[in-house]
Amino acid sequence: MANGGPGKILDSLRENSKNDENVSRFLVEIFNKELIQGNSHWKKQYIKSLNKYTKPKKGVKNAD
Amino acid sequence: MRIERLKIKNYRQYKDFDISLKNNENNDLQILIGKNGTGKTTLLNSINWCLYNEEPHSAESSDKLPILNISSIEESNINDKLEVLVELWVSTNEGRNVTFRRNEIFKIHGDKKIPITQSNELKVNYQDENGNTNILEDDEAQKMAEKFVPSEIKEFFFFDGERLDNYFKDVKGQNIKNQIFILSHIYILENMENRIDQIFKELRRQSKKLNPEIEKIENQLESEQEKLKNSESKIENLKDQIKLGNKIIKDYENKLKDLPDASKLEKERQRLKSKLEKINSLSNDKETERKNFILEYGQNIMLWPAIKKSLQIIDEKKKNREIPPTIDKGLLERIIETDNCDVCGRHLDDDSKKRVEELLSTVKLSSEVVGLLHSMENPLTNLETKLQNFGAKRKEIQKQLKIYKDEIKEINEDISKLDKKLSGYNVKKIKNWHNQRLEFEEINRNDIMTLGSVKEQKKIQERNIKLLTEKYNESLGKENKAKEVKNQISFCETALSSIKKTKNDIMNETKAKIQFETNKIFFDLLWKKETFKDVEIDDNYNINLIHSKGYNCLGSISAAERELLALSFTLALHRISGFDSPILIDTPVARVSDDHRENFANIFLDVSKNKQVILLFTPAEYSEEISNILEEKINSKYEINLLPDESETNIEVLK
Repeated sequence: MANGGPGKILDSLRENSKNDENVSRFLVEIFNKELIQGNSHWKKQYIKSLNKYTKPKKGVKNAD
Repeated sequence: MRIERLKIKNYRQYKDFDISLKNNENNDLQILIGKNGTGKTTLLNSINWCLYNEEPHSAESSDKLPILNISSIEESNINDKLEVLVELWVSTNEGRNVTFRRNEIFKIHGDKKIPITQSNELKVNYQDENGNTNILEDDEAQKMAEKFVPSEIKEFFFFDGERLDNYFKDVKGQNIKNQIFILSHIYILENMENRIDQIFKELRRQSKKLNPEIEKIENQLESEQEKLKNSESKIENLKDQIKLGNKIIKDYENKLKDLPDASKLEKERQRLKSKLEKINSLSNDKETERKNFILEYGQNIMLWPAIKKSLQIIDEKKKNREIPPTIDKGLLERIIETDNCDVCGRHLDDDSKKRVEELLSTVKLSSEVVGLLHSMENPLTNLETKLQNFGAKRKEIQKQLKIYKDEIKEINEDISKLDKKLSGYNVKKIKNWHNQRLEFEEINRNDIMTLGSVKEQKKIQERNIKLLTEKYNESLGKENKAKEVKNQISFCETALSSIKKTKNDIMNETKAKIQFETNKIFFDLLWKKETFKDVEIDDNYNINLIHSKGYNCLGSISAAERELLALSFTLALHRISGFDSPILIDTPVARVSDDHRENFANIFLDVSKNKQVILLFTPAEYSEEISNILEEKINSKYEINLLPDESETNIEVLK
């Protein structure tokens, strides 16, 4: 229902992490999770995303 | 997003209430009219209760009454179960329907018919993109209510008109900042920052186990980081305080300057203050010079006796012609040992050997020592000359420092005399202003000193953190497993840094946008186009209204102008946030004088072109002037009346 702020923040997150593509994708992913799902099971989700982007063998596909 | 229908059952004086709110393509303006005490505020509370299970606008007397309608209790029997229900029917911009439905079940106990709560729950029915209806309960239902209007910012959407009048007293600085964090979703970045930081710390702990040597560095690093965080927070607070202090001091100065009695003294005081500031700065520079001078000379002064003694020895040796050496002691010793002259190559006979031995007995110092003493002479002489100047230079610095100190003392005495004169004024107001200004000056002086010291501490902490991080990374690199953790730690560091930058960017951008939007709305709606120049929002989200002559005039504007400014700010927050929920105002023009009610009617009409506006008027508020402007444009109009026995409110459809 809120449609103004989040898009701006995502753009800014991408801009401020453009030097590291994996960090950028990670931030976009967890921002969207925070926006949609809020507080529930955050730790599990964060660690899953962190492993996804810091262990290249598992592959990074369709992060956005 | 708009409210389509509000249905209430057994909620306080609303025993059975059901209204639909129509709209058309031009306007979405809903009017409910009711005398004081009929239940307008209860209606406002019913929406809050439905969405958040709260009644923020209830009076103390209402708190003591049960939420359950009194006549329903009277009509009930012991052990009956009664339901309080509020349903809010909402439609989204995409045309989907969402119904928020809160009910509370009461059981009637004992002869006194006391209602005891059995359950209280919120359910949400909503249509998904395929048109299917889903039902949400418990936390999921509450989350949906938060998406409609987050509870933390509900006061910007459903509020009492009085709030607009008191806006700049009640909702200031930090509070607005917090609300903006929520409205602009910066709170999500804060959540992300805190959570990644938590994982980051856990990774560090993990790395400690992999390499126990790291533990010590890790602890030091954490402690330094904690200290740095505190220093940063202190610096921000001090800067805010100093800024605020300066603003207050400036205000008092301006007030005092404008008074005929005090203006001359005040101008002189300001001149002296400015002079004092310059001399203080010069004095501080000189003091730094003195410290550096002492530091430079300190070691050499400690060595002064040794330098003197060495030069004395060299002098004596020179007098005895031991320096420079006439003959090499080592050469003589070698000739005696080999019985052969190194100079002419002849073998030594006994006489020659005796003569060489006699010569050797006269040579006391080796040529190496003599050479050393010789090479020391020049640097030692230079040091001696420099130290001989020490006294003169020190005196010169001290003299200059004393001049500054005397000057500072003199200026302070002059200021003190002026202060006494200013304090001596019989006009109580002047005296108070002056004394308060003195208090703030003292506070600011202390704050500035503390700020300087905290900034120094911060530099040291940053240096320590840099060194410790290097040490830490070096230790981590030793282990293969630890390298993986190190990689994740470094990833988290980059992520945290990006979040911090983003947070900063969004905060600045949001502030600028809110200022722009507030200005736009305020000046579009304002009836006096020439009086004001600008609306400014400072770093602490305090709002300043700038008069066309350049000064901040928020404290002296009329209630109507203040209310319009607050409304403009509120609507700007709506626009920035992206929450396009309706605005509902109870007694919207109660504090607005008759002259401006017409203006406000036009404003509400204007706002209703883009957003649903629900206004709860008293009959007195809904005057002829307002009615003339709104009546034709109203989409729905209801009258709320309390029954003669005051136990129930009924509603009459007027339009």
